Amino acid sequence: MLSGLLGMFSADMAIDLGTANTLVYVKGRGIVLNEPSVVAIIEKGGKKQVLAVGEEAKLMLGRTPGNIQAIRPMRDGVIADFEVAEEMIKHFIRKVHNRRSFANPQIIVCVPSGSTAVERRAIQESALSAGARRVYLIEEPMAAAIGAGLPVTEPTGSMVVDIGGGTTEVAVLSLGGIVYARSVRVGGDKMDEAIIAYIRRHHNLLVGEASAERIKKEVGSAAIPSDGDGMTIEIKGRDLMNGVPKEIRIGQRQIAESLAEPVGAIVEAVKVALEATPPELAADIVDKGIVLTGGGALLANLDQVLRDETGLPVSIADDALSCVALGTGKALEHIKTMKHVLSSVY
Amino acid sequence: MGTAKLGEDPKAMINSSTPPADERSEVRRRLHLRDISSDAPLPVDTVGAELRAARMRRGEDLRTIAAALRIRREQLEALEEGRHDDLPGRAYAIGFIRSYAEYLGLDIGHVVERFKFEIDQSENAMDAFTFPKVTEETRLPRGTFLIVGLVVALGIYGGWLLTRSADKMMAERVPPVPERIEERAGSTGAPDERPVLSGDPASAATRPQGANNSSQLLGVSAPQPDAAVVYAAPPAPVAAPAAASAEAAAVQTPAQQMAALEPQPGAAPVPSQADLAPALPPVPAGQAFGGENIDGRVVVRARKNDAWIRVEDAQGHVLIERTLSLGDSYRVPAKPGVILVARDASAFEILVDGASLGLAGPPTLVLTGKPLDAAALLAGNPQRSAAEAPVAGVAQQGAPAAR
Repeated sequence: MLSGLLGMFSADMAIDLGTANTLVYVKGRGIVLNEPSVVAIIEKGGKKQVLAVGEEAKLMLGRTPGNIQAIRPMRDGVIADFEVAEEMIKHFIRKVHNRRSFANPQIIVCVPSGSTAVERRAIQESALSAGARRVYLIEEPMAAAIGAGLPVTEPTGSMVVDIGGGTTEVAVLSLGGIVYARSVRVGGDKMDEAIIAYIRRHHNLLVGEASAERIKKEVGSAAIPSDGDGMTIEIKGRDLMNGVPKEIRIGQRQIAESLAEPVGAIVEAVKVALEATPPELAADIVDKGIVLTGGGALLANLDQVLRDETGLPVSIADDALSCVALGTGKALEHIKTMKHVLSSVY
Repeated sequence: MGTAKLGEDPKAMINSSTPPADERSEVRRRLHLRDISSDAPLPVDTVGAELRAARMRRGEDLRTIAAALRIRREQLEALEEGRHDDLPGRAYAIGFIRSYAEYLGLDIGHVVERFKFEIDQSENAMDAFTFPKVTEETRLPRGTFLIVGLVVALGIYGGWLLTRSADKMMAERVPPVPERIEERAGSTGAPDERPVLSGDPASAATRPQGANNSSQLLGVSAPQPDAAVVYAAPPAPVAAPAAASAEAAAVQTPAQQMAALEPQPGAAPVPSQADLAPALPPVPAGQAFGGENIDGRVVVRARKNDAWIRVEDAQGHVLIERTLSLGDSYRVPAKPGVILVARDASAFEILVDGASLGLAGPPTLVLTGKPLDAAALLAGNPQRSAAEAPVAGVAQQGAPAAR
């Protein structure tokens, strides 16, 4: 009863604590915050202080002087730097939560399905010390499926592939539960790394993470174009041979070649999941196909590659980038009926 | 949600989705026509119509598109014809439309927006979120509540029963009077035959006063204070006329009963102390309390184990209060108005100057304030008639005071 009373005064929120972006959904208001999961820390006289969080900090990424560190506290979908992550969550909560309300918010955070108990506890601890009254965890594929509008509560199989920044979650859901889930630590970051490695190897040019991400978004493709090089893009970086900044032009074909490995890993994960799916649910999936969510789903031709590899209809969810946050938000709005989807380490 | 029968024969699927029988032949005809020419009449302004038009412009047929997009042909047809019920669900339908529009090179955003508008108009119950397990959860606490409530109610009832029966149990310990004795008691009673106890009536007359006072000091509403005195005197053979006396007699030893029922004119009604002493079996000497009362003539000796005793003086000061073992004794100080309180009168033997006066009372008697005055004890009990009150009555009234 007390919880209900406090709920009236607090802005409960759902957080998609992603490797690349953090989205915050506030009950009754929708997604109110979407910022990169980056924290800039400045060291003043041996004491560390938060300089910037989110968009502002992302601009500093790779461009910092010695006393400033731009840190991405999340790696592979889980917290890599506990203290910085806590600062980031605190900052976002403060930014979103109404200062006038005296009650602490109830928070739902989503975690990768493959995360360990230690990792879950770390996320929950962070949210608690950031000022949450109560913390629930929801598995990312479940949140993604809910957010994509899949009929997860019906007795029919739904397959969702959520390609995030750090992890790719493949899951088969039915009757409000996860039948099978597989989490591979391949996502947008791995693709960026693959692009960096490829350009360095083939062009002796070193590019930063931010540039690699831009390349991926603009000309990245999962499938090698059938004719020629496809689109081309200017890439700026440092020449490894003589150490001077340099600019080269690279084609879609080469980027697609560089992305073959991470894309192959995603395809493999989907195939393994399909193999492990019970036959009745597999029959449902044949009809309805696979739904892609997450930022990775926006990689050009990824759906086509999966379609060819699996022989199933593959569709990209509406608003793929915010599916997980929307799904977590939906769970928050219907927290009473969704209770069994949520978990809590304590 | 969709009918989920899309894997079946397209004819059967269409039949299940269009129940009116007269329309069925029309649908069949259309299906047939589409197989050949794929240009059945359709509403022009829908997304489906737009997709179909785009497909016709490119000159492709559904079969190749189905093979490229891996979407079933029936589902593509349903998309084109706007049969939303035959699609697997809103999210999937939007995904299919997106793939189809992308394949045909249409403006994806525009097509998807229009399709969403259409599908939301045709079915608005899409966002109802129903988990199947909600009803079970409410049942559990209700059952627990019921069980807890039942246990509490039973506990309260049991407690009430216990408090009520506590008094009755004391009373039930008195055995009913055997018929034989009742008859005899009714026939033999003669007022003259009442045995006169030795001792002067004057001193006896003063006793009840004292007994009353001491009882009042105890805070007891003096439930027959004399009744407590009755057994202080040696249980003399009594031939009481009233049935009440017979009840009292019932708790005496058979020999005493016989003596009471067959009074011998010649025999002295007052038995000497020597007569009574052998009646009680000897007990091993236990701990002696009250050693400081050297001048005390009266000694109370426990004849049972775990015998609870309390002795108070006239001012209500407790001189001793403890549980005595068999053989333990307490020497009573030579003060006036000292009283004995005991739960079981038969657990104590009273001795004056070393000579036994017998038990303090029958087993059922609760002593609430028996005077322990040597002279009075030796003088016997002058309030005999008052003391003949039914033992059961005494026990009932005495019980609360003893507690």
